[in-house]
Amino acid sequence: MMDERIVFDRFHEALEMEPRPGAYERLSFAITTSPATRTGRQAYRMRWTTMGLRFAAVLTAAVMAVAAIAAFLATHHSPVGSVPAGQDRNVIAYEAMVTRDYATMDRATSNNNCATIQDQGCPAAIQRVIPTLQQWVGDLDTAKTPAGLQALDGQLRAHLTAVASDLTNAAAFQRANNSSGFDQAMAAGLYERAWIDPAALTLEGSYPRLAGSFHDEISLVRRSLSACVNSTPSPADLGCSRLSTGTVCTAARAQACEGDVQSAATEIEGFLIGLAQNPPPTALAGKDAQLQRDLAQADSFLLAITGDLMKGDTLQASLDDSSFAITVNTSGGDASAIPTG
Amino acid sequence: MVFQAREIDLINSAKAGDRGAFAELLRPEYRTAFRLACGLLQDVDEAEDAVQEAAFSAWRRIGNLREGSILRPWFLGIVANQCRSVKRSRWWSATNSEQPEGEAPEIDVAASLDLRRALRRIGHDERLILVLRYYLDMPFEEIAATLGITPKAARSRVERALRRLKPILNMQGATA
Repeated sequence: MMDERIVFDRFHEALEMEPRPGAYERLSFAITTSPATRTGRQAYRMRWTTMGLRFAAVLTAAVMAVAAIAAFLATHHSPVGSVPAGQDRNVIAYEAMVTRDYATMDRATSNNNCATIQDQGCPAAIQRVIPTLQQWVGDLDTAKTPAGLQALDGQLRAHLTAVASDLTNAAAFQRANNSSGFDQAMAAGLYERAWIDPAALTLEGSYPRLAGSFHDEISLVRRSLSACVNSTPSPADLGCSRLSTGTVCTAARAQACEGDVQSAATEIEGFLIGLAQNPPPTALAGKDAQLQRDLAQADSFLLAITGDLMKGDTLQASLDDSSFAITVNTSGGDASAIPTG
Repeated sequence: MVFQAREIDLINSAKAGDRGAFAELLRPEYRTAFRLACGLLQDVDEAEDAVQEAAFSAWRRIGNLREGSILRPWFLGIVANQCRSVKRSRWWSATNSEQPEGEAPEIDVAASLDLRRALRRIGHDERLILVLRYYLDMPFEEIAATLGITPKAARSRVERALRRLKPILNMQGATA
């Protein structure tokens, strides 16, 4: 008979690991000095070249067009076609579709040999995954979106479309032997994946709850957006705040701008998830829907800024940045109009 | 009591926007958080990233930490959720080395490899509860606080997860 002590010992022998020297200090530094965006390892950092940006331009324009359509669908989805969340069979079917399509995409991205521009397995790997993304968007288009999830559903379509474009770009850059373009496209795809996962898990109903109640989430949205537009940001709000001041997205600061875009997108995704997980009281449903629509619109402007930067169009990036700032301000007004209990 | 009072002060300062106070709050939790992430992800780089991402997420949500709550179980819960996302976020299948980088030589390498493989074959929730119990040496009460369940449920889930692991690991007779 093996007693529990042996199980403890085996786990310790198998997993024993200590933090590397300076790990906490690096975290502390990141918290106290940088925006709340992930500081990825070198392999995932974007590098910016004119050639890479030009290559991405045409396809990115297409992405933005589709993203705009997706945002439109998200913000104008007819409530008539919606069903209330719960054990409704349409809800069950919707969640099952998200789970299935996520798993299909996940399988398609497994066991490939595509990490660097030298890897010959990239074209096949990319060809395998893009149809799964397109299929997923198609399924979302035809499914009956449960009530309260329209905004997040619409933005998921936009981000899925963006990933398909990123991977298509990566394949083109590889054919052109453009290493920095390839890295940039793959990095963009990796970031989108980080956005897609929490959204997909929320839509399938398995993401951990981000707030205790609808009112808790509204309080957080109000506090955060107020900090963003009033230039009193916490680290989590810095990306949003910098974009709202409109001084970031110059040619010289394109990379910093993209970092702020990712930070702001992560923050807004959190709001959309928190609201999707916490249905409002019936009397506040209209105001909740308006807030979600405006947050989705803000996310669409962030996607647009990324597309502008990939094209090297910093003028358009500034315009979209201004639109983002206006939409964030509007969203803050939406949230303030909702009583918090 | 002194420590608790200091933690409450730091939490209040962090809620008021003091980033330094928040970083200070995480100092005593960092090692445990890292080991949890490492146990779940079995990758040092990803574990560091996951703890960092969880820290930012915690900062974003610090206003939701209820009055009188302590940070540790709340933060470890966020780390666990982050690891779950990371596990599913590997865009291209990451090839994990069978032995994490920098690991000290082990007494029984084959058995350790078996255990790491076995942990990869069970679900996130089962892996989490086993790592909390047998790697972080948590009592059931602390596991319960981290997962938001009762101590009784924590014990029962540990037993169930261990039963799932046994046939894979051939840990005949192991009891929780």
